[in-house]
Amino acid sequence: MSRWRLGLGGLGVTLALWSSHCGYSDDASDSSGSAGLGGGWAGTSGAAGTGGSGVADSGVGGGAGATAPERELESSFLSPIATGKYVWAANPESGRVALVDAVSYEVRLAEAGDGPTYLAAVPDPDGNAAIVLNARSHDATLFRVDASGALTQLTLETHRGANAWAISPSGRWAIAWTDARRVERADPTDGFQDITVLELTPERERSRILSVGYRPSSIAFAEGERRAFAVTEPGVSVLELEGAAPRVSELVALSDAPLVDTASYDVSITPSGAWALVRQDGSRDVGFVSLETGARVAVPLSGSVTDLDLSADGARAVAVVRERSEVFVLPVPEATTAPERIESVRLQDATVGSVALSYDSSVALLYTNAVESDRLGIVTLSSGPEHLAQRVVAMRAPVSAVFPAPDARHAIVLQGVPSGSAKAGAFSVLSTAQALSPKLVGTDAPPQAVAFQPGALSEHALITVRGDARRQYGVYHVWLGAQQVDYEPLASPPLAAGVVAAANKGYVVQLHPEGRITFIGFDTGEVRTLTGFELGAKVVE
Amino acid sequence: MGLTLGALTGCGDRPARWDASTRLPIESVGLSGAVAVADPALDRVMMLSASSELSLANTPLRVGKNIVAIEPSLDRSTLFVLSRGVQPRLHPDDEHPSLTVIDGGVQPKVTARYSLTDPLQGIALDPEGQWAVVHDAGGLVVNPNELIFVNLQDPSSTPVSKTVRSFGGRPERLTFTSELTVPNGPPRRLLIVETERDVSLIDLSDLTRDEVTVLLPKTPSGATGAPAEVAVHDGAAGARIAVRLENDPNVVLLELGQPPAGDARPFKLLVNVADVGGVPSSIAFVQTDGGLRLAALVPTASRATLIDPSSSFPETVRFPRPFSRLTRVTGDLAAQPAGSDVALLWSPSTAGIAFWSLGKTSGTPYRSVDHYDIGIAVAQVTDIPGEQNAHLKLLESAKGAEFYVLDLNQRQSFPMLTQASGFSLSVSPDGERVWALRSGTRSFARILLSTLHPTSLDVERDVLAVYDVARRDQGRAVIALHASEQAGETSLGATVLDALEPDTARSRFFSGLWLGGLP
Repeated sequence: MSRWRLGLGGLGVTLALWSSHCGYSDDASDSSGSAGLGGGWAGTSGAAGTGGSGVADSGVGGGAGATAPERELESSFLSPIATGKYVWAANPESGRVALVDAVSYEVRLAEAGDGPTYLAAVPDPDGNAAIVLNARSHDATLFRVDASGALTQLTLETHRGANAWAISPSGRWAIAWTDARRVERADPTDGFQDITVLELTPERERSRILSVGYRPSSIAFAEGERRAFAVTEPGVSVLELEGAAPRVSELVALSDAPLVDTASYDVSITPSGAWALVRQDGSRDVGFVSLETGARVAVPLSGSVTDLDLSADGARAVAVVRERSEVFVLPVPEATTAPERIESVRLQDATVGSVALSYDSSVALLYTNAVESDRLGIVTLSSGPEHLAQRVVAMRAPVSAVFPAPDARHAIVLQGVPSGSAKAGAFSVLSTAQALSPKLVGTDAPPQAVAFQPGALSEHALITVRGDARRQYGVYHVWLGAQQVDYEPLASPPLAAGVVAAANKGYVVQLHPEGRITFIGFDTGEVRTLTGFELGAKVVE
Repeated sequence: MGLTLGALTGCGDRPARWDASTRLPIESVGLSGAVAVADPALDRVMMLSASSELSLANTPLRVGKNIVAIEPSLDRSTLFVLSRGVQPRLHPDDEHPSLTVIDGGVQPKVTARYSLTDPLQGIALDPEGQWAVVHDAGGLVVNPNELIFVNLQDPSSTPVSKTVRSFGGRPERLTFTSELTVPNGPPRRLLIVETERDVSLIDLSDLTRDEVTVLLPKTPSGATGAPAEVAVHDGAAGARIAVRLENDPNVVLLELGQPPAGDARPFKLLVNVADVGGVPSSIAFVQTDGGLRLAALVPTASRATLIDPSSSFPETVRFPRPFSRLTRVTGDLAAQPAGSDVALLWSPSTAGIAFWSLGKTSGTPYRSVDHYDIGIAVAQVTDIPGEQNAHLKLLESAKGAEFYVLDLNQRQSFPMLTQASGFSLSVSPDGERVWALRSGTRSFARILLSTLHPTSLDVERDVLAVYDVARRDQGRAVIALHASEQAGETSLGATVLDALEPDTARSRFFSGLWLGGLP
């Protein structure tokens, strides 16, 4: 029985989106976030955008004192791979990749290498492209579908053990790397320091294996794509992409004590590639590290910084100090030289330690999941008379994670259940633009994944629920403007949700040995499920 | 075969045909107005018909040499006889394989004969009477994937040969669909060809078009998936086909979907797989208040799974017994539920039946499952033709000496007991009577379905088969066939009675039927 893997390499896309680490690949196969494809609304390629989401489980994040740390639940959400009207699926056993046409539901198969496993979308102005890491043949296969629908593929060498992707926003560069967090029982001598830089420019495709710092945790590209950065435990390895061949130019330390284990640092790199912003658990400082000069500046705040988000344009960062429920807006990089320009607001009647910043950074949504709290703060960051105005909403159930819609007018709030509830979970539809009562929906299985319709007006969202014990699986289709919620049961456990903007459909990838995906038409509400991708492609005419 | 050495070397007194003998078992078929008895020894079919009470006309009709199959049409108005011809052909005059079409009415005659190029031995008949497909080659070098399409609407047409693509299988079962809606173009009928490992769809409106073949998935144990049953549905939302697989909990769902823009094909086949939670024994498309569903019976779990063909979402319906077969009876009910089906559930291995009402009420995917504990395990459910008694079903037991007449409207079942097991039942074409016969005995019986009154009849000779046929005088006759063999010679006779008022005191025996038509 063949087994399909659908974009499972896309961990962490939502961190890149909702944490606003723009141009920054937080985790494996995060092409979508950085390239603006898998993340859909955050994308740079317009209508080709697709949404992405994943599963909430453990988290990282900071904390202080005896209170539990904030959990970055959004960061562990899976991202399916979609480009244009296609959803891409890899089958490690058959060595094939399937393209599912979200409009016609046609399935096409393409041969990859041995064990195609980790897929990433590649921005392509002339068509659709994706790249897959072949786990057993230690290479990568690049697929392109041109405007006529013709499919081509090309194989490029990679280092052994690669399990993650970072794709540059233009699609010119792909970097295959090894995420140690995906390797079970890794030996301490396994540094996973090899990375492979692949140039994907048509007719100039090539690959080069380089070595970076010990155990990289993320890869980011600088604006213009002349440089890339690998965040590693000793610091940030700088990759020079221009020139005869890519090379590693230096290792930039993130602190004054570089010998201290830096694994607990939370690092965000600005899209320009000029700055790395650093937060460390228990520290009141926000560190600004120049990736050009190596200079470090610490900006102290009023207490331990429990969360730090960078805006999509990299112009400002939002930091949260939970012990004071205080929010700081730091201009980047002016905060280092003009601390008086740092703004702050203290939320009333709410404890907040985490922030979810809208894509345009006009709204900051503040909450805590370190302790049970149903309070959610909305702070306006856009300029004007409402600048830094705050509103605290009682969500009636403890908040777990918050996802602002791409248009910043709504948000989906995933929640636990209050005591006395017979439900397995809950979520709310929250209007951030209007002072409306949030719509609370109790669910019979825990909410799992969230995906939004991309674009300037996000009208639809999908929320999957999964309860393995009672085999309850389903997806909620949310009409954000009307706060209408429709439920569709699913036949198998959902893995991830996304949006194929070109088809105006959402999709839910499910766990099934033959591969299963359910499409939901946003306009029509039509539900269509495809099972057995390889079987679908074995229709001979 | 059938020609004795004496006949071949003959003494010159009479034609050798007089000494040719068809051996037992004799193959006979009941038609609307006649009984057909194959006489392969003389390459003919004896058509026995009744012009009036107690009369019998014996019309021998020449068919192709070497009969390999005789099949009646679904409505029993026509008989198809497939012959291999002379094989191998050594002379230009040696007869080609052929398909002979015979009108099975009260005045039997050959209406068409199609010459074939290859000696095939299987025939599949279109229930709507438009097509016959000859297949299953048996020669030294054969093309098992060749199908010969015979257009029965045009006796002058030349049969069309078509070889379906082979992926290692050969046609095992052919199913003609009704007219199906397709996204591009007018509705059309398809021929579904099942092999051991794939399913092909042939567009009957254009035989030159390549067939569409679906390679089936492997079973959970890794074996090649083999089709076991197909179900077809056509509706306003499009046409769907489901394929049940052998020893596999997965059911393959096919949708005749919209092809890409600019694509002239009538449909683009979309394939789905749905797990029904156990190996299903029977599938059927059913209408529920919630829309179309594929019902799959899973007897090992005493349940059915209803699959939404769009979303593949399954719902489970538990049954009081492990029913393995399903017969949709909605159209046979006097009071038909709006928008949903009623199905009869039965099983050859568990006693009882159930009515499954598929309307949906809040919280359940069905309205009710009403179990009836009749005393037999049902091996076969037989429809009653015509409108008058369509609400009745015959429930036959595999071993028992009884059968039931089930009234769907009243939901009552009436047991009919026989004196011994081994009876076979046949329903008259007008749907008024059932004939029960224990082949090889002199006894048979008529049951009037209007009153369920049985009439037992005993004739003077062992009966091979009984057939209820129309007479030329608008009456109906029952023809009881007798056959025996002595010293290598087979004799064929018949007893004729009035089927409406059967009385052995008013019957007539006819002997020497093989001699009919001989010079």
